[in-house]
Amino acid sequence: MLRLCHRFCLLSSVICFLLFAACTRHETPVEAGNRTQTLHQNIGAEPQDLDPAMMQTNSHFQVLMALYEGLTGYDPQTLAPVPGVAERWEISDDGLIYTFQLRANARWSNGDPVTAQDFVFSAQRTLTASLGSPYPFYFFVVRGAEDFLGGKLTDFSQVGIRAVDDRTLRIELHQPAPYLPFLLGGFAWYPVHRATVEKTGPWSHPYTGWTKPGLIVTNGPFLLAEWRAGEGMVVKKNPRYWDAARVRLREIDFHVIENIDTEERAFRSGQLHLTEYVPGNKLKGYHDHEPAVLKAVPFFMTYFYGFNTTRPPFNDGRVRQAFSLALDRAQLVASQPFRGLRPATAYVPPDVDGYTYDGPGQLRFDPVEARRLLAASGYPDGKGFPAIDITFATNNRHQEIAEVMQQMWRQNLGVRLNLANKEGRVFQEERVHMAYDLARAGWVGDYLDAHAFLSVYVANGGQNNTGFANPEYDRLVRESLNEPDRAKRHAIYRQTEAILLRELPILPLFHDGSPHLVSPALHGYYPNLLNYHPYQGMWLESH
Amino acid sequence: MFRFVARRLLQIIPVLLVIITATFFMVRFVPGGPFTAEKAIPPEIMKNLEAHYGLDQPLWRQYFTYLGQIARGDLGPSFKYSNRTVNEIIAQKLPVSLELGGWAMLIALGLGLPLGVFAAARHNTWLDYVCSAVGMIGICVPTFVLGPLLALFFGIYLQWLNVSGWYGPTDRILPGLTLGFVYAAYIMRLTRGGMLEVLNQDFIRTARAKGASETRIIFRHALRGGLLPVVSFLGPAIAGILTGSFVIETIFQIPGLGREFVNSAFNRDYTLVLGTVILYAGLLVFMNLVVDVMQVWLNPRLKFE
Repeated sequence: MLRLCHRFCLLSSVICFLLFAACTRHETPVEAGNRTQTLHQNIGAEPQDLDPAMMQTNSHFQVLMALYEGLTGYDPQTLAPVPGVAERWEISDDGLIYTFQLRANARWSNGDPVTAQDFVFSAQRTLTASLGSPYPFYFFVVRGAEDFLGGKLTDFSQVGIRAVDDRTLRIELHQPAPYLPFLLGGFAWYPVHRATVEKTGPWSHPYTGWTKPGLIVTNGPFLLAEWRAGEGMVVKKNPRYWDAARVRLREIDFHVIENIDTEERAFRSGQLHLTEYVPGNKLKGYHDHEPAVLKAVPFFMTYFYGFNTTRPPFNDGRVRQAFSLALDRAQLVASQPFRGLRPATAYVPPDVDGYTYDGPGQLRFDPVEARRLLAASGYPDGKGFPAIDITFATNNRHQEIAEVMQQMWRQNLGVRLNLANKEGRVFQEERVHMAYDLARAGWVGDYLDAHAFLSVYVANGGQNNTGFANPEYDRLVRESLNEPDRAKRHAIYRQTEAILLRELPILPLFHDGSPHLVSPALHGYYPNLLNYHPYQGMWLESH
Repeated sequence: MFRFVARRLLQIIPVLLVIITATFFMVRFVPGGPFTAEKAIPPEIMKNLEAHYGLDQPLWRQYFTYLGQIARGDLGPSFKYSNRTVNEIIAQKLPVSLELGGWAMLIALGLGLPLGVFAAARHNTWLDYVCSAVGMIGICVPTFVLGPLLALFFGIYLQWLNVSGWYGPTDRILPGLTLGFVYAAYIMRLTRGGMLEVLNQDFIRTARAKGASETRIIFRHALRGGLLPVVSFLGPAIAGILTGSFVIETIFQIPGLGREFVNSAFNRDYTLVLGTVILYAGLLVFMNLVVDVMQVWLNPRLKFE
């Protein structure tokens, strides 16, 4: 028996030795990447498809940005629209007609020239209802686009997007949209290669499989080389890209690590240059010990709660105001440190394109006034106030924030509310069907203009979900765009936002930040408001 | 034996039918659908999407269409991974889960069996106590603690192994160890218990009296009987290692089926939920059958009937 025991011990030591001999300290993927200009970036969940018309989550924009290029692109620091496939454009005096001149040397990855017809075709495809694109509304500023999608218009040549010749594209709007050049840099407007799309099925059908490696043809700085399900995508530099001389990265490995703790470990062990998030409990550690890799910058987002204004108790404006005044937003933000949060004083994030709300009704903390308003609406010291739910989708951070709010309302108003965390889709379903009293919401602007925020709360807006409807508000939102002068337009925004803050169908809490871990070896990466990071100017260099 | 296996295989069909029916209707009655999103989709588009997937049909018709489909072996298109079918996803991801499970089982048996035998052979000595303690720790420490700890030590401090991914052969070590260790602990305790029971029986005493060596007694006489509890544990354990690999696959970012199994429910990916449920249910039923056959083979007192 003892001999057997010895033999077993010997065998296991040999196995252990072999195992660990195989895995002594090796060059990490990040170190190797710095040598070979291979960027390792995590994008969270795996994209469903790489068809720009079918993209479903904003975080996958990064992959599409590597593969495609729109008429315009973005300045990596300011996000100002810069020439992309279009080398220049002219805008008519009334702001309704945009004429784009396309580059002669813009090429698809198979060598075909990128033409104005490609953009017309791509727009028609996205606006064709049978395709089922989730983002047709990025085209709704174009004359006739919404009617074509809804079937009121059947001839696409009636829609205001036309190829004058191979290299001239004309876009006609039904109303001025000063933010159009910005919108054109987005994924929804990326062109797709018609012959490629038609290779695997009719172009008006979704998911025919043309985006698989080997088939897909794109026009951006990188090409899809590999797509391993559940593991990620590899894109390689596109030698046919018109601006290839400026592209210094040779490869990008997009990882699809969904778990944020795993992602953080992967970053720490040298598997990633760039993370999608940072776990909340690790923020302090990075802030204190490795501040150089933690980038927590303001994000073009407002984190808020929506009131259900169609039923008691929040159908009473005074109750809504009382709930807002009873919140100490500075303290709430202090409970979420190191993320780059800014307490909200209004709904639209401050200083976007020079607009900051400074009118009446700014959000403030005033518990005395809050109690007075609540008493005036029939609930003195919170007595008789129904025990409603603070509803949010299951998430640790939402839970923490809701707990702080629950406590503040209890202290400052004397009301006792319940926390109700719901599974993601159950929560969405309840919000859409207005089966809630107080539900978490958030909004990220699609373009850097206050209009991107204010247009959400028009009466028939698909994302309104509060029951708020104010004709004056709708009129101002509609008319603001007709005003070509920026300062005057901002004055209209101010009037519009004043109505929203007076009626208060929502409860803005703070403007979110977006924390990331970024390897110091990554250059040409600039934290910005929307988290858009064009790859053209990035490179890797370790010190 | 053939009749026994054939009869048991036939019994799988009604069991699966009940499971399919229950899952089909349960997943449909959960609020929210595959196209529920933060940004509302225009109604024209929603109608087209629903028509594309046949969701505009009455539920009973969808149910029978689905049954017809699976009778032909087609599990339908996935809602989330839009350009892949459920068959493709399973074909792609099941081998990964099987490989992970294979390594874990190897580690579980490679550690659990010898340790269990030792502990029993050295009953009430320090060796027994050490083995039992290791077993107890293995049972108590959950994988979501052990996994990150191993990743921290071998991946971040020593930088020997990747903390995530499924690229090279060395990427199998940490997940395999993590998943295998828990099962090793159970197997060790079951082996020890089984062996102790057998070692106290009369026929062992007879063997000892005849002067058989201790090694011969353990391997020749006791092991076969001592393994019985382990074998009945292995059936559900193998199915469990495959379904239960969700946590490991998440911690180590492994592109296996366990993660899809759980995430498909969150995504309301109706077809993928059903596909994975059918697969795992089938696996579980089948493994139980294998265990029953093994039991009869190991225990002469049982017969196929």
